[in-house]
Amino acid sequence: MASPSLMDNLFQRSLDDIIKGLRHQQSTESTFISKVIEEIRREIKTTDLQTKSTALQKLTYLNSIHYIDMKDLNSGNEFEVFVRKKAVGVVFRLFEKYPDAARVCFKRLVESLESSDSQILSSVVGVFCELASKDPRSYLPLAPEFYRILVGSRNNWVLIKVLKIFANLAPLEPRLAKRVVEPICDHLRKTGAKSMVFECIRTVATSFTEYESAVKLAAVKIREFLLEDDPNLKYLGLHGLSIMAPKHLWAVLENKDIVIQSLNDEDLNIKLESLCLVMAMVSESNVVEICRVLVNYALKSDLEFCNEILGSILSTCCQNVYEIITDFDWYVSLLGEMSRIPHCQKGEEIENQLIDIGMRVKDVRPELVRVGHHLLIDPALLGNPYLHRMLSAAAWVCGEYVEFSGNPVELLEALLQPRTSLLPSSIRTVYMQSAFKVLFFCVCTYIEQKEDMTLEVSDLTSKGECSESSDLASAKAPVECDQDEGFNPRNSSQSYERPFCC
Amino acid sequence: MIKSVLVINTQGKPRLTKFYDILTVEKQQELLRSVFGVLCSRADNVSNFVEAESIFGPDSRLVYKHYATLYFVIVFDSSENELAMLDLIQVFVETLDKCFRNVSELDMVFNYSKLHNILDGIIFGGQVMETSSAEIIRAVEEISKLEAASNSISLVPKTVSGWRSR
Repeated sequence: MASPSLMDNLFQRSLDDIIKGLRHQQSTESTFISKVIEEIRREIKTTDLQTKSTALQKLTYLNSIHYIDMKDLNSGNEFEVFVRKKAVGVVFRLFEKYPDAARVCFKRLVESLESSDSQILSSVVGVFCELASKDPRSYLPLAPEFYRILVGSRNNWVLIKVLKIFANLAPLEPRLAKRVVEPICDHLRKTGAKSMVFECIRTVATSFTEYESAVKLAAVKIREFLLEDDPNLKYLGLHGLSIMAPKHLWAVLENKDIVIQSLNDEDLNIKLESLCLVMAMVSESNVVEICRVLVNYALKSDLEFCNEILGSILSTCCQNVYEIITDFDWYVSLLGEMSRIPHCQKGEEIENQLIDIGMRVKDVRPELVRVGHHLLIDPALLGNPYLHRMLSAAAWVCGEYVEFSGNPVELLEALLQPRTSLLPSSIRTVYMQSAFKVLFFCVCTYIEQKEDMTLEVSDLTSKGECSESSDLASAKAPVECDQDEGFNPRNSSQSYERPFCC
Repeated sequence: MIKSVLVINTQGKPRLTKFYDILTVEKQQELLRSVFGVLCSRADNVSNFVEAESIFGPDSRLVYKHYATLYFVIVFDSSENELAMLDLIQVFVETLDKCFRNVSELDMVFNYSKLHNILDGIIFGGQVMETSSAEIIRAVEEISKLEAASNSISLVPKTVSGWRSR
């Protein structure tokens, strides 16, 4: 079909033409694009290389900037012709799909480690870094090669990759760790590049945690980062601390003031890192103080960070079944306080904890009911949909443990107030059930009180005129019994119980 | 490895999108939208790092730089160093600047293939290939020479714009 392809070749639109065309076509972009795709479909089938490559170029552009899916136009292996292969880069992707290929090319790759060309070395070390992170044990035999590079190379890109490799290898072989820790500390002391400093810190904090002097050196360098004005270095300093935190909490505590100060930083990421660090510092002895500080920050923060803080407090405090809480009265009142923070969206979690604690800790029930009562009487809270679940818990708790309530009538009024119509029906159900429980409790209390009152009255009367009332009592009783026996009050009274005398 | 290199303008339009993982077009669009959503809410004097795991999955970090009307973004995993990646953005922009003389957004729009040649010179298959802008420019100029040479062989210009420029 010679003539159509000649026409196509002569008048083929280049990529520049497409781009200019698209920028002119503001409103009819999609029709323009469909037309272009039709042209590409034809052009890509030609045998002429120039036409085909331009078509491919246009297609690549449309795919990446205008999200045109390539799969419908894929005509198979014609694409391979145009892909530039850079040997090492391609080899890595191959290894990902076919791990056996790694064994075949292994020798060549290892030879490349000896290369003096820093670019080839950089690429090869990069490949080994990826491979070692997935299967470190297989690359342990190459440790001497990497050690040579660690002590000899001056190229920071190469050194960073080698550090990452050792971070993966060192935990497997303590003797290796012992040999490598000194050169790493050397780099940490001498290097001018912040990226190298950070990588050394990270390597030590991850895989050389038993080497006290190395860890101390890393901690010194972290503090230097924290004191910098550059927000990137500050962020990385905090990140370094959080890597150290699990095994070396002392380093975090040493920098406590900076960490807490960073809660106020403009950068959300710095704030989040410091929040994680603050939670890492929490223990039984300081949980009250830290929660106080955090709740104050939450009140001053925007919606997102406020809820991050509240979420952190809730999850840390309930860990291992409330391991760090010794004073549950305080914690329950804290939960109530958190519910009242305007931005609070943690109603569901607070609900779970209120009920959970109520069931587990008998002694806290009076405080729980007091807190629940306060939450229920506040009509403003009913308008906040994020708090509805928490109100459901408050209602349940107050109904279940109503015997601890100081003012059940006020509680009942709160459960029945008109604004409860704002609640979803599942929660109103809980309110109604609790209202019944409270009502029942009130009625029982009333009856008992009445019984007690009548008991008290009869106590008073019976003490003074015991015989009179007994005559009266006995006078009544024989009337009910068999009258044929004859009426003898004195005798018959002795055989009857005297209910109102003691 | 590097998962993605993105250049998005301050209106949210992508100027360069390179993903080093196989992703559907819909997924790519979704990722772009999420990244833009996060970046446009960042102030100017904060750090260049952004939490990326909620967008790109576990073991993902994101570094970005704001130049004039463009955001340059690199997404990477734990095999790369954060400050080195920040440096790489710098290398990319410097190379563009040398190639296009005070590069602007329009240069990026109209020079799609050269842009990609430059990027491929720096990062290939998710691995860092070259970190010196001089070397990259040398390589890109070689490619342009080859392209120009193959174009000049034809007697009749194959493209409409080539025809008109005659």
